[in-house]
Amino acid sequence: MKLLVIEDNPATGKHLDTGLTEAGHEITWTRDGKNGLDQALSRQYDAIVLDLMLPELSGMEVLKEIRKRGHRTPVLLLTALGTVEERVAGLQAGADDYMVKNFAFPELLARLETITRRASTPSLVNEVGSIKLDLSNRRITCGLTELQLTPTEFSIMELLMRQKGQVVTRKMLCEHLWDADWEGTTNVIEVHINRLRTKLEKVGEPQLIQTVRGRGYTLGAV
Amino acid sequence: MQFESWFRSLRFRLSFWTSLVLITLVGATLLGLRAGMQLALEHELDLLILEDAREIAMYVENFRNTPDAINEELRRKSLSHEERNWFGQIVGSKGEVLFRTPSTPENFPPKSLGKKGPISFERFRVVEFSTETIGPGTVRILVGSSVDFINEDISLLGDMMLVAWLAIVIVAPLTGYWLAGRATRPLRQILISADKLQPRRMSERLPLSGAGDELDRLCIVINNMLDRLANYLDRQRTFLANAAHELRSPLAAMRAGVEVTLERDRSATEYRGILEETAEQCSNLTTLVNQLLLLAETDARHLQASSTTVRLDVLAQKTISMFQGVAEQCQIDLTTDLQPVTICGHTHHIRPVLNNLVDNALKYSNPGDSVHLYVGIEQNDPSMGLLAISDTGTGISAEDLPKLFDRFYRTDQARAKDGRRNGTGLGLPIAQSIIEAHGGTIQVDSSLGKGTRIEVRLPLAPQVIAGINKGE
Repeated sequence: MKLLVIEDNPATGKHLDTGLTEAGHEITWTRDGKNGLDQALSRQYDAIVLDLMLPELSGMEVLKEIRKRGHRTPVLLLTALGTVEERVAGLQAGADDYMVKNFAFPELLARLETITRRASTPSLVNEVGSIKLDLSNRRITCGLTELQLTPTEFSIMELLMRQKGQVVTRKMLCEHLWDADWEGTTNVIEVHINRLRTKLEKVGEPQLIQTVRGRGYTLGAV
Repeated sequence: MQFESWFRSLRFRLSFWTSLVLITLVGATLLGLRAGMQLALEHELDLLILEDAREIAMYVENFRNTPDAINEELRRKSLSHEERNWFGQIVGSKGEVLFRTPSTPENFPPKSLGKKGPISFERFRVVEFSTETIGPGTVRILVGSSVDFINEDISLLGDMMLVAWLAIVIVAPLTGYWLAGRATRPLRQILISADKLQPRRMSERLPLSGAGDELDRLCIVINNMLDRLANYLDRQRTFLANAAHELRSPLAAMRAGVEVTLERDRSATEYRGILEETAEQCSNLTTLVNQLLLLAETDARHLQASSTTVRLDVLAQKTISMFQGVAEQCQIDLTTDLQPVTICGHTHHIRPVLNNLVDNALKYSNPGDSVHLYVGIEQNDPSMGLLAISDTGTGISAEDLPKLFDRFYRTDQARAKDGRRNGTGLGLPIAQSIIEAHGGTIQVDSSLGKGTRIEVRLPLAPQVIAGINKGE
């Protein structure tokens, strides 16, 4: 994907540049609102990662200008704050998603994919190894055996398979399952992951779900 | 500039207005007194001349046939009352003038006035008295007297009153200003003392005069406010110190880990291990920082503007589904009784509270215990929603109970690094802060070894607002 990153903080900008390039995207990085706006208006990007606090022109102004000119490029906002009011204001100004700084990088990747894919329909059937997930009848099969999963376990598998090969953080899973993040020390996901592993082990796929320390889970090899 | 501030001072305004009112009132009283005096004197004169008229009437009856005698009597009276220009006139039944004293004013009409009561004629008061006698007809007697002497008295009285009033005009503002100065002196002292108060020296207080008056009460109120401010600042200072301490420990650990790693070359697996560890510590730090931000946000009471409504029971159901797995794993019976309750607020704020309370209840319960979550309308107050979480877990000791909502306070159990029960020590303070920002209350009831019951009361959303939001 062709991505435009508008971010004045050198450290964050560099990490975004490196991380996104390594993930196989083509990055244009500008450090202030004015240049960013020029870039956004002059070239066609698949998505824009926009910091809210920028010199010259604030992120909110850039966003409003882009939308005013009729550009429908998906925009992902980044901010250091993160109050409800600010989030609402950003989404109302035409942002597609919103991330509070100090985010997990896999989450950024996933969200970028989500906002660029929103228009296209995800495929109904997904396969990893011998496991096959069919969204049309919400069944997961391994060969001819059907896995008896709870709705929570099914949703976990659904997200992991959609993001196969990539890290899915606990936060992403929480939001996917229960519409809200849980930042407490109790690991509310682990219980379900453990049960899933047990069930997968019975059908001969004990290593399918892997824990990535400090980050989350992934399907198959990292 | 200084003059202007003097004009605006309480002392000036107090004395100015009281003096103005005093001077006006005294002036009006003196004027009224003078008018009343004039009326009273005129009334007395009227009585006197009416008496004269009656005497003459009796005379006329007695000496009906000797007009000279009547004339003589009139002349005598006119002479004896010469100083007030007394005059008399007798008019016959046909309106002809029978007698008239020489002192009668020349332009006085030679006829009956046709009125009984006393009237004013130029500088005179005149009365008419008619005799109802048999004979040639009724006679009307008119008697008049000058009011000059009354006017002279009144004008003299007026002069004296003016002098008195002028004295008040001079004395009232001066004494008023002096008295106002005395009354506002404690106020000026309060100003001087209050001016010296500094945020860094929160121990200083305003001195009390001991009089127990309004100004003393003002000082007490200000001192109480200073107490609260000092207390608040103190808590903020402690909070800041604690927060810095909490942030420093994981930072130090991360730094040490990274520095040790950089000491020499290592295998990719080793690097990976250290990086994963660092990532984990980073995410813990992020959690802590997010919680601090949430506290700051709710502390500033930014939540009041929130006009959205949420279904407490629906959120509770989501929380339960989030923790059901954990409860099953720990063999804790997690049950619910959820009735529809709509409150004002935002999901982003209410969810963490619910999650935190349920998480705590599960953390401090042992296998075989039960946790029950109730959501419904408060029975004693139909305008409040009630959220109650009761568990049969370990309970909280009496000495821990009052400190439960202190920031970073952890019970001995929570401090133990066995993993399951440790936390940031911010969960309950955040819950309290959010609930209070929504106009609600949180109450903990617990006994060690028996379990804990936490009750949260939140104001219900007005039905109208609920209806509008559903309509959207």
